[in-house]
Amino acid sequence: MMIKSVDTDLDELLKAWEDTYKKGQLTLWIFLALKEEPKYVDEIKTFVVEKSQGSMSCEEQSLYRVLRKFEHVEIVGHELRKGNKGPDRKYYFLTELGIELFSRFVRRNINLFFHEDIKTILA
Amino acid sequence: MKTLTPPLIKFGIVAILCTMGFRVALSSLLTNAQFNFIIPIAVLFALVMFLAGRFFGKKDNEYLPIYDVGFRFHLITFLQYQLISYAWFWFGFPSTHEKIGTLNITLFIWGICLLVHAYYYLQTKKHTIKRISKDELFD
Repeated sequence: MMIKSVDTDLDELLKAWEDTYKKGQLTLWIFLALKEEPKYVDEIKTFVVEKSQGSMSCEEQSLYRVLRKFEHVEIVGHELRKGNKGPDRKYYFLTELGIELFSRFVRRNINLFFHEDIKTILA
Repeated sequence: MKTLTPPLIKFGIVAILCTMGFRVALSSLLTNAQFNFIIPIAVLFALVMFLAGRFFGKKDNEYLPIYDVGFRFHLITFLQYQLISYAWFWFGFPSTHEKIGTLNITLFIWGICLLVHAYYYLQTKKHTIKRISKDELFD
């Protein structure tokens, strides 16, 4: 009974922390997807779900909205390419500004997790 | 122009149609001396414009959250209304009860309101990056 209660608390705490943690994460995953290579929306969505091992998910409509914002501030661009069938697809890519932004963000916020002392704590 | 979004264009088309309809209705009612219908038709016009602005404004925010305190929609409304109204006079369509002076007063008062709105629009710029709110840019 006691263990079940602790598990429930733990699940709730984990969910609350993850909900907060995930805010702002979609941008990082989109940048990761586009840094790998230009992708169309469906490919970005698949990349985010697969590479985050299901911890992140996003609707296509949300992705389009985010990409429109990024295009507006010129960190992402797109080009039309032939799809397998149907109309041309919009392949999104990081612009030079986007690449530089991502690079600086990673240096300041991600790379610190790869320092030996932090890696030891995380292990 | 990037800020000329599809919902804003659709709103502009609806606003033009509504304004043309309003001018036709107003002039017809005045010509036929049906003065009791003037205020209801003006209220209906204002209501339809308000609802159209609200509907397309919401769509616009979903499309691209440009932080402009409604200024682009106000500007489009102002421009199309004044252009259509002056064109209506220019081509000689109004009734004998309509005076160009009324339009000039509207242009003056509304123009001042638009300038005040433009001031607030420019003030919001510091909270944005290329007109997208800094708080809404990254998800």
